[in-house]
Amino acid sequence: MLQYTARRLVVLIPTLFAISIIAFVIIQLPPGDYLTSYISQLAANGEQVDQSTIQGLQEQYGLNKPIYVQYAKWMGGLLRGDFGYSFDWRRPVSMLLWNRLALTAIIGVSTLLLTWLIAFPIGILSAVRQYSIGDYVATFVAFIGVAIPEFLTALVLMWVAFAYFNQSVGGLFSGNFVDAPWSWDRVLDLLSHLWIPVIIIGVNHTAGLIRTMRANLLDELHKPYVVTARAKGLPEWKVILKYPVRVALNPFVSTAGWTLAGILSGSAIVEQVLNLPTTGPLNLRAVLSQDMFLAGSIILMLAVLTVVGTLISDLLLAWLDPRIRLQ
Amino acid sequence: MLLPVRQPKPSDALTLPPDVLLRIEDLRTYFPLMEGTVKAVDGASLTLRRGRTLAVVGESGCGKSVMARSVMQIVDRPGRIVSGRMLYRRQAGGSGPNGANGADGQSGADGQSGAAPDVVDLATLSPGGAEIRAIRGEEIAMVFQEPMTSFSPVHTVGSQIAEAIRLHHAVTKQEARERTIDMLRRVGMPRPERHVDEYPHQISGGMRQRAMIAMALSCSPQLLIADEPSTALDVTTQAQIMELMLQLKDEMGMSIMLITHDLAVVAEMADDVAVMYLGRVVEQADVEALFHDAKHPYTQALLRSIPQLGRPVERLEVIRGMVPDPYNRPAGCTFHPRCRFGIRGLCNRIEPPAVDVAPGRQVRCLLYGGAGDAPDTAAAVGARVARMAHLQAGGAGNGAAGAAVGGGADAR
Amino acid sequence: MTATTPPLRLTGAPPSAVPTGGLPSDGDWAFEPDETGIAQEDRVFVASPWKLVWWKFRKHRLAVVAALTVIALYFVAGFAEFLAPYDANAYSAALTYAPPTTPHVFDAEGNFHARPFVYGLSQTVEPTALRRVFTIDTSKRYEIGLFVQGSPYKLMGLIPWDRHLYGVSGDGVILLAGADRLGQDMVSRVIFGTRISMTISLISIFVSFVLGVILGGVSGYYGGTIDNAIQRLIEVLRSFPHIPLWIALSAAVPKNWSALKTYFAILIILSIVNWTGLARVVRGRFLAMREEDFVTAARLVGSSERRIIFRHMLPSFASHIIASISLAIPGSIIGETSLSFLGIGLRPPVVSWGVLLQQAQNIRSVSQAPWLLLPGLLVVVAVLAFNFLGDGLRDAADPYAR
Repeated sequence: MLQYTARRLVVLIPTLFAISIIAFVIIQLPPGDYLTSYISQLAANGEQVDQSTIQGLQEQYGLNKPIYVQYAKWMGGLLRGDFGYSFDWRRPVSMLLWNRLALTAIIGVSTLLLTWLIAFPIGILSAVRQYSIGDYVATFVAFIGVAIPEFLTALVLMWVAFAYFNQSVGGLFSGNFVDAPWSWDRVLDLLSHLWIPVIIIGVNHTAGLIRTMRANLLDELHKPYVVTARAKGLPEWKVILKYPVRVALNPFVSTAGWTLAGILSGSAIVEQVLNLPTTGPLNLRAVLSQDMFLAGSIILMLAVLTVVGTLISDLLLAWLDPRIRLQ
Repeated sequence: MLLPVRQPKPSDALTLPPDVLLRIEDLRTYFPLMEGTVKAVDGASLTLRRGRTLAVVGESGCGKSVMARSVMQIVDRPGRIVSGRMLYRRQAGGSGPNGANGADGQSGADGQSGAAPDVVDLATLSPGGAEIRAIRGEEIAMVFQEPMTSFSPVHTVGSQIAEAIRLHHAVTKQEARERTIDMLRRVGMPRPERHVDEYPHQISGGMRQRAMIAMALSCSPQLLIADEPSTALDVTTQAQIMELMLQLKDEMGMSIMLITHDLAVVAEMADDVAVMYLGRVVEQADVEALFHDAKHPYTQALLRSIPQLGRPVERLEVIRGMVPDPYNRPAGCTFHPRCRFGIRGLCNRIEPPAVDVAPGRQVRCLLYGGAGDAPDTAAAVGARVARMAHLQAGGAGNGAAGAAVGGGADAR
Repeated sequence: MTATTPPLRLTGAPPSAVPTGGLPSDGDWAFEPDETGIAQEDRVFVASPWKLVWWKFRKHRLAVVAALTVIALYFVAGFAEFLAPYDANAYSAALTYAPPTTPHVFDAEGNFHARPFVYGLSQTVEPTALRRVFTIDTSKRYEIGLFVQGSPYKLMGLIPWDRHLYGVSGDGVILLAGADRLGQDMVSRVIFGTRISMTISLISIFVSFVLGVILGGVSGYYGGTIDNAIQRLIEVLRSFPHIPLWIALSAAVPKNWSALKTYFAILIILSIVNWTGLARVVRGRFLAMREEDFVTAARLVGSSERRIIFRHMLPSFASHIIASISLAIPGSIIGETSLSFLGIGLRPPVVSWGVLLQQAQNIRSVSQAPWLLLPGLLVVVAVLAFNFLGDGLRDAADPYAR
């Protein structure tokens, strides 16, 4: 197991390197260099452009140097926790990033856990009672759930809440907690808001996972080892839960990283619709104002989050499945 | 209905002759599917006596596996036992080597009351119920065809065996483990202390099948059902596994129901043979009688399709045609379209009843009874019987000339 | 059972031709094997694989309905100008958020009219809330006609015409699904949106497919280092959550680009992410197929690599690929819709479902005019249809599997 973990960690390094390159490419994407656009933006606002600041920035990011030097400087900064400077917010990116990233991660992970919690039992029942009415209902609901994009669910929910209950749904904190320091009350306040985006994003992914679980389990249910377990005299529920469900969990766990990526993807747009203080709206605003250090950092960190999720799911899988651990 | 038929009367009490362990009567197990109902077992009857090995032979798809699973009530959904009886004599209390009885409390309290072992009709037990679960694994155990896939890939071999022991006997984890190791040693696994903690993919196919046998025998069952236990193994390992099963059968005083399509295995292992065709047992006999004096045309054809020592033939016979589509089986005798002795107007109309041709020997073929006694019927049957006798004698007597020549002569 | 055997193998001798050597004589049998009904199965044995796929697909009712829906959507996309009563960008300030005008056959007095009609709309301003309120003006009736004359257009961009499927006579308006903020007919807008959304998703999946087949095929066929490199690339790309990545990539699309340029830019952005899924499918198939006996056989008789790939391998998994494409299109539709919805994808005056949904971002507008969500319904219908279609195709793709 240790050896396996070590091997997975080593494989992680080139992946992270590739991710950083893609993020850097994104930073470089908009035509022209961002400092120039920053200066012209300042000038357009009639603000004084401080030459020394510009020189400092040019120096810091190696803007007049070749591209690989720029990458090296940027990468060096990353390793020291410096994500660059947000020209739009006029603050270092790292000051903007961490709080929002943490909230995004909380939403992502809670959604993942919720979807599993709902999808497992329904998927199991759906497979064990294949072609029953419950199975048809679950399958139908799952199909619908997959087909409705998250932002549409969010829109409809907001509309219903606004038009029929005169409630506004959105945000993650009540007014008096928005800028308050972390406290127990703030956590409770967060939880009381959190369930809305979690459920909206969850609906879509639960639906998909129910179908995956059902398909996985159907593949396993008729395997000989299940008959073996039954022939021992085990009660039926124990036969199902201890053997095929256990095996059907493996592909589930192994794709948890991608599920997380899918959740983060959907959550980006739901966050925008619900106006949450997370990375989604920040990313959008950064892109619209071509604030590319910020946009690139967000993309980078979301990818890192997914990669870490994949790593955890891989380790979990190895722990669950001896065939992988012992190969 | 017809003459010497053995139709179980509904009023029959649950009794069995003392030497009989299991008697299946007119068992029907159907699979209702969207395309139609598959009658996997459709009126099978057979008798398994104590301490003997009964081989159930037949082509693939004849329902032998489903029948074996029906005995344990582990037929896969949507399969269901529709009718028939499976009379089974419960194991006497405390027959296990450690004197442990039915264990987990909820099971068979009534069966262990000290009186003579009860006879139960397995067909009436609910597949998920406590009583059949107390029988499964404890009294009737099963060895499966695929040693690779019959073990869960994510649990150790030992834990899967120990689970069966702990399920039926009140023992601690440690005791169960020791018994598991002991059992693995008995089935000839080298270094059982090490293999007990290994996963199925870490040991070879032959060893896996040994472990499977160890699991089946871990609770000292009185009946072992072996469903093609050697098919997936190479020939040498096959022989070892068969040898091992026979040896353990004698040591533990079990009965074995051996499901196979391999007549060589039958000849080597079995005491009795039941031949199945399309969900029915068409002939049951002891092994000697079957190989030397097969009664049913299907059995005869089956035997002619394997090479025999000392009887060189230019080409082996094949049974004409294919196994019919499972959704619509032929009416009357299901073998009639492929039977060289079929009689138009009889075989495709009348379902042959089981006929006792000798003690402990049944055949389901109109040539041996059940066709009715109208004069022309008797004549037709008589002609076919004569031809069959001639063919059998000719085939045996001509030796090298083989069945083809004998048959050709007969046709003129 | 992988059942990827090429068709030739299945056209074997019918069961009745089983050699009967060693039997007495055939005339001696009372029954012919045909009587068992075995012969009827021949149809299955001689049918071509595509025929088998079709037979199997046909059994999947839902998939057939989905296929018809998809065909209908592309029909709408192709004949948008004819099907829509109004121009995509025709507007009328007087009709802002006008409610749907429902067709009637009975008028206010209860008289029956053989031709359906709509009533006129009149608008009043509510004095207190300063809100405009529409009332139905039953004094004006406008008959609904088929093939009515309207604004001229070029059908399929070629044939000049001026007929529209339906419309009303005179100065009336027909708004079957209400109007939006600019007083534009939602039905017409959605019909034109269908054209853009359905084509951009299809073309972007086609681009992804070409990329996927090339890279996945290379990866699966050659294996080794190339395979490893491509697999790592896919893994890295897949660790980026799609929508944030799309959002970031759209930063590269200059705002002053023309509609057509933006259309292709968005199309490429969608493809950059989407090819990975298809490449994985193709690679998996190639890996499985490389081991198949018929491929080995082809290699042993000296077929060239090209021939093996194009004559033997590709045809045997073409049906799987089609199924995967069908299952990939929904992601592309949602991608386009999401980007346009956020205002960083397609932009007006281009009309797509996502562009239309932008108006629904404002919850007040939605509560005033819920029909603004209509494009969302179309998204759901399209995604469902492609999913069911893909599911049916996937099940049918392996006609030899049981």
